[in-house]
This record gives sequence, C-alpha cells and structure tokens, in this order.
Amino acid sequence: MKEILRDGFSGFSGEFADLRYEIIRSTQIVFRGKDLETATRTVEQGGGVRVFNAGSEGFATFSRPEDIKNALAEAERLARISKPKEEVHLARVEPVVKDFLPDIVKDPRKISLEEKVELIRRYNEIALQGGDKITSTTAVYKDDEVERYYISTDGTLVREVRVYAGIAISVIAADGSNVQSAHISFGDQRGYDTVLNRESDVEEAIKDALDLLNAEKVDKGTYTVILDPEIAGVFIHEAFGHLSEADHVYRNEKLKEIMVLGKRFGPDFLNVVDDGSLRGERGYISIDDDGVLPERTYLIKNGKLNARLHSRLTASLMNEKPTGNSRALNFQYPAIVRMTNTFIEPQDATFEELLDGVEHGLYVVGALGGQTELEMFTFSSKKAYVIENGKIGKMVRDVVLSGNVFETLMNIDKIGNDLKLHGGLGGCGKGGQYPLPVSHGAPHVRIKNVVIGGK
Amino acid sequence: MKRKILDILAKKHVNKYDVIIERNNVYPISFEQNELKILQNKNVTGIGLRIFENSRVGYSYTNDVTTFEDVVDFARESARYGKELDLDLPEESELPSLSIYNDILWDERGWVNKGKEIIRKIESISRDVKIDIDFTKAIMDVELFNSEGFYGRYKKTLYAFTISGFAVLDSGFTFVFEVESSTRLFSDIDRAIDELLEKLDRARRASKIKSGNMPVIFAPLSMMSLIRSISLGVDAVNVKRGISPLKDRIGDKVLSEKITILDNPYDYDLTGVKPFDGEGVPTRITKVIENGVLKTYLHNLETARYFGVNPTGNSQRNYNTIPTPGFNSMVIACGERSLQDIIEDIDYGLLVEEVIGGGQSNLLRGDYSVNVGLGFLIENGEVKGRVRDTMISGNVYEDFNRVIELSKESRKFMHLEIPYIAVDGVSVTSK
Repeated sequence: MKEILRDGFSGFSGEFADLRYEIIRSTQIVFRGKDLETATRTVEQGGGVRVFNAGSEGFATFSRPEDIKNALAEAERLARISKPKEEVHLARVEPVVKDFLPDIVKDPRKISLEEKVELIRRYNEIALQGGDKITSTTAVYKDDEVERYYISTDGTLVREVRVYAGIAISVIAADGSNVQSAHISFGDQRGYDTVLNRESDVEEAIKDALDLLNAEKVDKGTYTVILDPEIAGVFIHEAFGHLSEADHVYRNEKLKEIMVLGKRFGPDFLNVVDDGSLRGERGYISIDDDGVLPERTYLIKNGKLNARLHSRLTASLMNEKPTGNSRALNFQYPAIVRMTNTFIEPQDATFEELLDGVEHGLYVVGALGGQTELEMFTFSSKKAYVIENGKIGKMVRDVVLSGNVFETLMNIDKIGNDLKLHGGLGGCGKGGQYPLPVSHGAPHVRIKNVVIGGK
Repeated sequence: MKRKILDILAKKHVNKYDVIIERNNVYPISFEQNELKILQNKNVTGIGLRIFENSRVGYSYTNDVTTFEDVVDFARESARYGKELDLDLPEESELPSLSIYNDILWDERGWVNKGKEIIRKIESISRDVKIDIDFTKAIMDVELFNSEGFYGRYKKTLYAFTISGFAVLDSGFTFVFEVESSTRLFSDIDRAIDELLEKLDRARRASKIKSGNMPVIFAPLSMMSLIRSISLGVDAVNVKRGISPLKDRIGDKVLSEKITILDNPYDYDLTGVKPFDGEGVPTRITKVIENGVLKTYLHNLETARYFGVNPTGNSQRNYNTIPTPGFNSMVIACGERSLQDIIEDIDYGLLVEEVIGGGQSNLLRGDYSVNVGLGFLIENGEVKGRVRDTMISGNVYEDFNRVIELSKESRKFMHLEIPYIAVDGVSVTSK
C-alpha cells in the first residue's frame, strides 16, 4: 500500500503536498429499550490529498488508491486558483519514516460480534431492570480500527493503526411528563478492558436518573462550585483549550495582544497541559495530520500563558514551534488545529479540603457538554449537589455553568490531588468536524463566582 | 451500480431488502481570518443495505461498491441479532415532481474574488473584525430501491454561503454569524452582510440587564436548540419509547395558540426538500402543530405500523444511518406584525441573537439553559446595547405557552424557517 501511495506523488513539483489514506473497520451495536436496533460491522476507505501553495490550499478526496493522481491534479489546480495577500510557508519539520502499531492487552478486533452483543445486552438489561420508572435506555458499544497512511513530499511516510473501543449508556426515567436521564460513557485506546466490569457504573446511572426525577431545578445565581474531574476537564477544554488553538489568533492583531505569552491567566498553582503522546488515551495520536510528532505542551505554566496549539501553518505565521495539533476528523476533511488530551495538573488539596470553607455552593458532577465563543463559555453537568457549610446536601438538576475565561480561571482557588482523564464515545466539534476523539481531565477543582442560570 | 448490487443480492438470495445509494459532490471555498484558506473538491459515495430475514432486520454499509458482497454478509450477520421487524416496504408509486436540481457552473475564481471583495468592504467599515467565509456548492444524488418494486432517484443542488465575524470589542469578544442557503444559487449575500454588520455595530455599545423574568425575543438563529426539543418530542420513536413529553397528547393544546409548525418538504429554499423519504414514502406537507394543538407525530415505516397510521414521509436516512423519523424541513408559521412593532411594545426585555451552549440541557424534556452569546437590552421599546455575563433558562413546553407574538419576518436557513418569537416571563440571570 505504501508504495502505491508514494508512487501517486511521483512527478509532483510544487511547494508541498501530503496525503492521508484510511481504512476504517467498525463494529457498532445499539440497543434502544429492549430492542437491539443494530449490530453491524462496516468497512470504509478513502483518502484526501492536500496541495499547499504559498498559503493557499487545495484539497481533493478519492476513494481508491489508483485515483490518487487525479486527486493530486485537482488539489493542485485548486491551490493555484488564487493566493492570500501575504505569502506564507509551512514550518519545517524533520521527516518521519515509521510504522506505529497499537499496544493493547485485550484486543477488541479479536473478540466476536456475539461476545460484544452479549456484553452490551447485559448492561442494557441491568439498566432496564432498574425499576418501574425506568422507561427506556440507549446502550451503545462501538469499536473502530483506523488503519492510516500519511505521506508527504517532505519525505514522511507513516503507517499507523489506532484501535478505539467504548460504550455509552443512557438510562431514561419518567414520572408523568417529567423525563430525566443519566448517561455514562467510557472509551479510549486501551482496548476491550475499558468496556468490561461496568456494572456498578450502570447501577449508579439508574440511581441518578431516578434521583433526578425528584431533584429540584437549581436556583439561579452566582456560586462557589467544586467541579469533579470529568466536568473540570470539559471546563478547561472549553474555557481555555479552544482559546489556545492558534488558528483563532494567528491573523488577529488585537487577540495576539491579549494572548501574549507570559501573560497571567490564573493563580500560580494552575498548570494546563495538552499532550497527544499519552498512549491509550482517547486523544492519543502517533503523528498529527501535518506529519508532526505529538508532544506535551504546557498551555499555562504557573498561572501564565506558556504556549499554544499549532499546525505547521499557524506556527510559521506566529514564528513559534509546531506542537503536533493539526488533526482531521477523517479522510474527508482537511486538518485544522485541534486539541488531543487536555488537562489541569494535580496539586495537593484533598476533597475534604476543597469542601472546607464553602458556606453555600454546589458540587457539580459529570459533564453533558460544553461550548465556547473563546471568551464566554458554558458547560453543563449531569448532576449537582448543594453544599451548605462544607457539607454535601440535596441533589439539584439542570446545572449549566457559564463564565468568562479571563475571570473564571483567576477565580480557581483550590486544585485537588486526584487527576483523572475522561475519553468516552463522543468528542470535540470544530468547523463542522465532529466528533474528533479527545480526552480531557483534571483533579477536583474549586472555583468562586460562577454564574448559573435557573429558576 | 444498481445493476451490480441487484446481481449480488440475487446471487446471495436476499429476498427482502432496501438499498440507498448516495453520491455527493461538495465544493467548499473557505476564507479564514480575512484570507483565502482552502478550496476543496470532495466526493462522498456510500451504499446502505437493510435486509429482512427470518422476521428480523439487519443493516450494513460501505463507501466502495467492490466490497458490496461483504456488506451483504455483514447485514445478514446483523439480522441474526437484530430486532424483530417486518415492514410493508413501499411499492412503485407516483412521486411529486420537484425542480431541485440547478447545476450552475461553479466559478471558483469568481467566488474567490467575491470573497476578497466582501472582506475589503467589511475591512473598510470595520477594521477590527476578522471574517471567515464559506461558499459551498453541493450536488446530492440519492437513489433508493427495494425488493417490492419501489425505485426512486433524485438529484438536488445545495448552495450555502456562511459568513462569521469575530472582533475583540470593548464590550467583549464578539461573534456574529449569518447564513444563506437554497437549492438555487444564493441570491441575497448582500442582505447577510448587511445584517452581520448591523449586529456588529450594535455590539459595540454595552448595556447592563437586571436579573428577573421578562419578555425575551428569540431571533431565528438563536432558536436552533430550542426547536430541537420540539423535533425530538414529535419524533414517533421517542413517543413509542415513552420518553416524549408529547406522548398521548394528540389533539391537546401543547404550545401557545399562536404557534403553528409544518413539515414542508416542497420549499426549494430549504435543504430538506425532496420527493420521497429515506424508505421510499412520497413526501407531503404535514401540519404537526396547528394553533398550538398537536396534530400528528412524525413517522417512519416502523412507527407508522406500530401506531396504526399512514407513514408521513419523514424517514431521515443516510447511507450509514438507519431510518429515523424527523422533519424534512421545519417551518414555524410567521405572525402578522413586524419585529420593529413587537420591540416597540416591550418596556424592558431582551433580544437574543445568538446563544452559547444550546443542546446541553435535558432536550427531551424541553429544558434549556444557555449563555446569551449575543443579545441586546430592550428598554422603552428600543434596542439598546449588548448585555454580557447573562444566561437565559426555562422550558420550551412551558415558555412557548406564553408567546406574545411571532414576527412577520422569518429567516430560512438550512432546513429551517423561523420567525422572531417574543415570549413573556423568561428567566434571565445576569452577573
């Protein structure tokens, strides 16, 4: 395959071109309520060629390797239609010639469809037997083997195999027109072990869905909040991760002034990292889609802006170093600047120390999602509990937190010692490319003055 | 391709099936931060197979017809586990004739120049804004056939123009967004640009808003997640599963009598226009909610059979998804007075243009709780400055029973047509 792909480039004389070719073999099993809706294996394959010409790019897709020449010619035609006002070139990197293969103990590719169906059927049955008020469920198992080839006119030639596996289960409880749901999701590149022994997590989801039926809506206002690792991870992804993506900044002089390296963003004890090299995590990559190896990038170090996430284009324009963060959802999309595994580094505080001194606050657990417009952001929780005088009290629902990155990061006043990364089956969305596999995490984190909408 | 697929299905003795073939070509031209960024030519082909064997259903799909034999084996394997399901697949039928294929020469150089001209114009008015633009042409070719004699094929074009502006203003980071889309070439790019500039101009002034319950006017682009709750509520699969708040409510008043919602698959300017649905049922205009009263759910073949009603032509399906009920194109009927008149009647309230965080609450229940990404104080009948650090929250099924009025102006974008909707007593939280 490599030879066929390389031959496709012969005769190209322009500035730069690269190619991604992927073969994606997937298994997906979906239960809705008691019905098994699908238990399906699929194979898809295809590729995309990019030609870079002084800052303008052309991108063309193809489905079979013999069509590369045509795709290359089309991408070159598109790249030559016009140029940006100022000529730019990609940052240089060393060529990589290597095969990257997964290193997993229990390989989902070696497990039969039947065994996978039985696993997710069992979880689904536990959920359905959760009581009269459990009205329905959705239980999904999914694995993907992505065999990818990346080749560029720089001399890079890589074959890489990634294996993702995960489950997502929703438990839906209803009492009259009151419908509440609880969700769990586990997924990464560690293999089949990630989806095993999740019975107690399903039990917890049942309990949450039932408890939410009786929980009151949160009172609106400004609160001190303690975020659990999952939602603190979404918080740092939304509140700061996206703002660190250099494609928002690279041509905006005003934003560059705000995002100048060395500027204080948080307290001294705040360190924020993006690291694509963490094997096994959902956001792990062997190499990015510009041919750059992943690395650990400190976005915030000791409270100060330390670096940002780059593609080779944004790095070149900002005179900084590529960080291995150029990623495409799949062969049908061009690569853009994306996160990988993003997290807040742990500090010393125990959970009890975080609770201590909170007179009236919220303990916020689990994440349904988040969104940002770079400065203002929101993130939404699965459940939350009122904190009164340092004690966790009753459950409340519909806790959606909102903030302003410049204030909220400064308002972090304690960071716990219990870092956890969370992957799942979802992902990050940007520029119409969703869901890109990422993980995010943090220890428990305490933040003052967070706005929460409500009744 | 159809011939080859039929041969394989015959050779492998598949007796009951349907097949969807999609061949889509997409040509986006993108500007990022005031500069030309990338031109693309993308071809997405896919084949989806559903088979019925031993009273069970199975699926698989591929993007490569040479692997179709494997797809049949995978679908067969899937049917061994799949749920029990027997459907009366549509037979040959008369389909509505729609002129939705308008293949106009895609002059890439012309659009690149148009993009540069738009950016120059905006730069001359507003130096601090950075513009992203996408001009996209897509040709979608959908072919569907089954073992009972249905065959349908349609080609449609889609043209979309999206423009977003980002500026660091004294009132805060500001995103503004506009979109034009149709099966015909975009006719009103200038309107989109003018509205974008007007929003940006308004955003330069800052106002403070008090927390409380007050009249809120939702602009069309701000309502995507709110109306998603209604789409989920009328989806007959959710009703069948007992998780829709609209279960057992046919004939009941569920929203304000001022609200009428249609599925209109015949409007050329909405992207859901099509002659037949994902299972071969001819499309038709359906009144879903009329003057606040729930008239029908949206069905696919399976739910129509379950509820003992006729299918509504609402089965949404791509080659890699299973048929699921949904709006083809969702239309909220307009009101009689202008937005300006509605604003003039409000003493103290909020105009919401764009929200951050839609779709993250309990959507099925109709809950929402979002940050006001771009919104303006309304005071004494006038639009004042931009508000910040503000959230709105509530429940669609409760709040949309307190509709003051819908505007006579509406916006059509993607598969939606929505007017401005003024709602009384919405909960607003501000710092």
